[in-house]
This record gives sequence, structure tokens and C-alpha cells, in this order.
Amino acid sequence: MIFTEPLFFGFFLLVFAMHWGLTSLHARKLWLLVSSYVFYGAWDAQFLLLIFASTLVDYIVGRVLANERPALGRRFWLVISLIANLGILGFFKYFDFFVVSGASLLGALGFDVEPRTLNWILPVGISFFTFQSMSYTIDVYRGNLKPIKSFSDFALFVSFFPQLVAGPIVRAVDFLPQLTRTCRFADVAVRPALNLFLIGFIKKACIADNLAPYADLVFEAPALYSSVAVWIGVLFYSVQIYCDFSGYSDMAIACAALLGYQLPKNFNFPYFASSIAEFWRRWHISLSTWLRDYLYISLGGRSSSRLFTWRNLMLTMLLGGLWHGAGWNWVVWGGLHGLALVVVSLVSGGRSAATKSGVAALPGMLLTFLWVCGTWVFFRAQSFEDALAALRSMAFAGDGAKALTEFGDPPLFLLLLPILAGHALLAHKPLERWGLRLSGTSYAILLALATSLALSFVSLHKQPFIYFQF
Amino acid sequence: MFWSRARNVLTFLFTACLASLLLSTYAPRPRLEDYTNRLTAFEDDSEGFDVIAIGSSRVMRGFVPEVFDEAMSAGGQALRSFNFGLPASGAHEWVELLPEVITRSKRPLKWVIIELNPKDRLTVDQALTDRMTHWHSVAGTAHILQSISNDRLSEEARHDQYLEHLRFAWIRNFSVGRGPEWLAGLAGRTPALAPVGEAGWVKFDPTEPNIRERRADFLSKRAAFSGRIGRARAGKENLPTVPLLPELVSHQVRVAEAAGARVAFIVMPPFSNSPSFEGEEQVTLLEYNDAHRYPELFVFENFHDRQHLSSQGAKAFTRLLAADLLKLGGDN
Repeated sequence: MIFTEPLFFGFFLLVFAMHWGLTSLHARKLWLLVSSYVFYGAWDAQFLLLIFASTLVDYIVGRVLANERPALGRRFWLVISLIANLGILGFFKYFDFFVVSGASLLGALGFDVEPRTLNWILPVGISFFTFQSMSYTIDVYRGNLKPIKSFSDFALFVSFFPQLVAGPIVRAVDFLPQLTRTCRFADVAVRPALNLFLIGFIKKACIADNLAPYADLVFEAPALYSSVAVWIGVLFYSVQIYCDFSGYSDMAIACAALLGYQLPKNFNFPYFASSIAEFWRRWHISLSTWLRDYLYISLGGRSSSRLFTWRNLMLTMLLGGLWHGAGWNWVVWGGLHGLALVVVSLVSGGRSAATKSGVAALPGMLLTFLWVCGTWVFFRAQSFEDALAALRSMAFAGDGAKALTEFGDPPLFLLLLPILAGHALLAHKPLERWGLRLSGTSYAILLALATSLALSFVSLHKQPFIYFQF
Repeated sequence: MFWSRARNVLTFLFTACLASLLLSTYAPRPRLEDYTNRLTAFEDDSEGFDVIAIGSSRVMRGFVPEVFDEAMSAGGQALRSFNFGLPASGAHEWVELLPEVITRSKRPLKWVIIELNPKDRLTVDQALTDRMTHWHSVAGTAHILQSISNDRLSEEARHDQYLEHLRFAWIRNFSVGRGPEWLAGLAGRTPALAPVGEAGWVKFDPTEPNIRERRADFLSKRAAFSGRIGRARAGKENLPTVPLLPELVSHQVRVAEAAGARVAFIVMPPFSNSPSFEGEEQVTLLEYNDAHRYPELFVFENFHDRQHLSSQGAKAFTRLLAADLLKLGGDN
């Protein structure tokens, strides 16, 4: 069940109507919990046990930490939680990767080993809900959060369906307090939420899915395509992944808002960032802040030694890359971003560069965008050979001559112009302000016309959300 | 407050439905391979046609208009015919096609020949194709829903079929996904469709790899197929009968007769299942899967593969069909 499917609309309407039809806060939360488990179970019911196990372990650890005083005992229980969560993640997501990598390493050393992989299906959203659940125990351990008493509230925090499978990753400290307040429907900002959902829908179903076939063609065999075609493929993929992921986040935030809950912003026009550090403050914000708070700072953060700071940056980005997927391409992708952050830190002498604006920001913006596009090649390519072939083509040093369309490829660049214009418009005037002055009827008519037009541009070649695989 | 919100929701739903239906009605029609080019060729012919043959690839490969016209002319009826066989099509698509053809016809149609294949029930595993989406108009969807409700299906299969076809109807009638095609049209970047020659008859192209493969496979099983032909000619082949979708049959007859045409349903050779009529349908039915009755058709060289006639077989079949129609007194 994905957000752009009619089935989800039916599911959400039912959840929405029942949620606001119930008057008791407890009943509403139980209803949302059941709905969230139904939502996840629609993918694969057997993996509900995983979410439940992760929830149970962290709930118990939280309760134990509430009464545990000695530092050693507290650390022990934290380690139990980390082992359980990272164990689940490691087993389902990384087991085969480490086995195959280990066998390759042994093979290189002259030992012939046949890797025995599990080939298990990756439970959808596993990286998101384990990180979310883990953040709770870490915050309780650090004393930033009081452990929660209600198991069902905690279970709802871990499984809340709008953001369960692809984020944003919600912190317990932000979400749990919302579960104690009774929200009235009159307090819900309906129009901003509907605007946000429609924009998210357009990003995913109309933009990302329509650009995907071109990017797929190029990344299928980049060596065959001309430089212009490869540039189109890479640029289209850059737009696709942004629209795909931020579209999902927009719809998740909108759905949660319509149910009376606030989720954190996950994207802030990342392709308008004027430096790579700024890019990471704007891209997948809930993950980058998670990595910053729970990994980078735990490693020592910005240490007195620049060498240690760079090490911490590199490690954080390498692990961030690995979080995305069990493959060396993601590690390289994270490494390249880490390298860029180290270089920026080196150039700026370790000081945070002030965010530039206007024309002064343009060169940095362009350079950052090109670097990010270049790194997406490793993120998307099916092998290192393909990634290098694509980069060679982008440097106009490739041998390929194939075109993407029979009409000639350069006009395809024009497709990016309305997308860029729309993006700039959204950056200029936030969605929250759209349609607020209109009467209810006028707003309903405008929204209906926009929806109808959006439906006409929905791609019939549906693509799964890219971040579901993580 | 509640009623005000309810009114806004209804306004939204009404406006969205209206806007989408207007778009789907007035936007340029989709350009469909094998469909649009056939309709265009039919419409663009300066003289027009008197007879159309509608059906699957068996008709597309098996009905030769030139041969039919000659045979009818020799029998005293100067008629012009057009082949509207569509590959991988079924009865529900033909229901949608028939009115489109009738409205484009320059002459009043005299005969409408429609393939009858009771196996052409739809299954949910059929791939989403533009053509399949196209025939899910409101009327087309009503027909299929009625067929599904009358069909002998398990409850689960019935439920799946309803959902699947409602999805197609939603895509078709709300113009879902048509935008990129409109933009391409505005920019003059519409891909060209294959030209249609020989009044719609399509011969097998031996250079096409999948056709070559099917042919080679068929030739490798010559002995078995010849054996079956022999048994069939001797009248020992019992083909199973399958119930028809009567509402489709009667609808097609109604539409064609309203345009002044007579309808002949045909069952194509070699071994299509025979239809059984559950109701009181009175239709003209010519069963060319009957080897005992048409032994001259059932020789190995007349078949290209297990399902289709060769060029030689197509000409032989078309002559038989013309002769049967002349016998039926096609002088209306």
C-alpha cells in the first residue's frame, strides 16, 4: 500500500474518519496503532513480529533504565538495546553483504570460500523504524527523555504509519509528548496539509515516475549512451530521487498533520544548497541530524584535533552510506560526501561557513549540485564499471553514441525548466500560505482542478519509492 | 461547521470528476498502435467499405480482403472489405471498436463479421496496455462488469476482476497519465504509427525473430499437428464447448443491426473451442474449427503455427467465408 495508490486513499479516509469520530484520546491512539499494524502488515504480515520485537525490547530497556542508577548497569541495558536493534538490522540487511564481502576478501588472500547467503527479503522500512526505536533508548540513557509508561503509546511511536516505511525518522522526544494531548479537528491546519499532500503526490507520481524510465535506460548500460544522454540520465535521476523521497516525506507529513500530529521537516530545497555541508543540513534532515546526534557526537564530534574531526566526519558519512544499502556503491557514495565535507572543512579552516544568498551563492550552488549529481552516479549505477563509464561520458570522454529518443536528446533538458521553476516558486512562497484567503468552496474547486490536472500527468509506469529499499 | 465541510468535500469531488471527464472527452484521443492506424486507414480510404471483419490476430492474419472482395464479386456482389483484426484482443475490445468503425464508415455496412472465441475472457494477469485501457469507457466497463457478475468465477477471482477493471476504468475516464502524450503532441513529437496496407490484412514477416521461432517450433511438431488434423477431418476431434458471454454477443448484434448491417459470427480455425449458447441467442454462426465440415482448410500447409493460418490458408479460409456468406444471401 503506497501513498499514490487509490487503495491507500481508501485506507486513509477510513482511518481519518474513524480517528476524528472517536472522542477518547486513548481510543484514537489504539485505533492508530491498529491501523499502523494493518498498514505494515499489508506488505508482509510476518515482519510485524520484527516491529513488535524491536518495540518490546526498547520499551523494556526504557523501563529498566528508569530505575537503574549505576552507570555500568545503565550502559549494560543500552548495549542490550543496541545489540537487539542493530542485530535485527544487521541480520536482515547486512548479513549477505558481509558474508559475500568476507568471502571475496578471503578469496583475494588465496582462500577459496563459498559464501552461504540467506537471500532473505528485506523488511520494508527496517532502517527507519530501528533507528527511530533506538533513538528512544539512547535519549533515555542520556537523560534527555523520561521513559514512557504506556506500552501502546510507545508502540504507536515506533509504528505510526505515515512515516513508518520511509521516514521522516521521528525522535521520541518530539513525538511522545504529542501523544498526551487531545487534539481537536478544528486545530488541524487542513489546507496546508492538503497542499503539501498534493505537492508530494505531484513530485512522486508526476515528476519522479515520469523521469525514471529515462534514467533507468541510461543506468542500464551507460557505456552505450552519448554524453548528452548520460547527462540527461544523471540529471533526471537527481531530480527523480529528490522528488521521489521528498514527495514521500511531504505526503507522510501531510497525512500525520491531518491526523493531528506534527512530523519534522525532512527536506529544505537541498539542491539550492551553496556548500556540501549546507546540502546535508537540507537533505534527509531527519537522518542527517540523527547521524549527527547519535553517531558523530558519540564518536567525539568536532574534536580539538582536526584529524579526529575529519575521521569522525568520514566515519559518519561512510556509515550513513552503508545505512542506505548493503553494498559498496553506497559506501563509496557516503565516502565521497565525507571527503567533500573534509575538504570543505580543510578549506574553511574548520569554521562553519556562513550561508550565502543571492548571486554570491550561485557558484557554490552550482558546484555543490554538480558534486551531488556526480555522487548519485555511484548511488544508482549497478556496478563500479557502470559508474565509471557514466562519469567518463559525463566528462565527454566516453565512446557511446546511443540516444534516448528518436527525436534527439537535447530538448529533454527543457523538461527540467518547469520543474526548476516550480521548485524555485515553492522556495519563494511556502505551501502553507497557499489558498488561505480563499473561501472554502473556491479552495475546494481550485484543489479539485489541480488534482484533476495532476492525475493527467501521473505516470502509468509506477515505480516503487526508492527509499523503501532502505 | 459540519455541513459547510461536507459541502466543500462534495464540491471538491464533483469538480474533480467533472474536470477529469471533460478532459477525457475533449482531449485528443490516444494514438494506439494497431488500433488508431487501422481506424485512420479505414477512414482515409476514399471509396469506403461495405464489410468489416473484427477479431483477434487469427482474423488479422487470416482474413484477406482482396480475396474476399474477388470471391463476393464473382458471386454477384461487388463489395469492399476491411480487416479489423487486432492482435491480443478480445470480445470486450471489439464491443468498443465496433461503434468507432461504424461512425467512420463512408458507406452503410452490409456485413459485420465478428470472431467468436469464448476463451476470450479477461484475466487479471493481462498486462496493462494502452489499448486495454482505451476500451474501458463507461459503456465498455459496464459490459465487463456485467460479464464478470454473470461469469462462473470464484468469489476471490470475481473480486480481483472487479478491482482490476475498475482500475482501468479510472485510468481511462479520468485521463490518468495522458498529460505527457498531450505535451508531446503539442511539441510535434508524436511517435509515428506503423502504416496499414492491404486493407488491414497482415502477413507474417519471417524476419521477425519471435515469428520465426514460433514457426520453427510448429514445424518441429509437424507430425503431431498433422495427426490431430487427420483425426479432426475424420470427425474424431471433440472440441470442448465453452459458454459465451451472451450480453456481449447481443450487444454487438444490436449495434451492427442498428447501423443496417448483418452480423456473422465466426469461429476461426484450427482448433478454437466452440461456443455454447446458454440463452436464446439467434445468431449466424460459422464454425471454421470444424475440420469434418471444412476438410480442404485442414491441411498442414494452411497453418503458420498452432493458432494462425498461413498466407495460403488465409486465402483458402477467406474464399470459404465468402462462399458461406453468399449462401446466406448477403444481398440486403
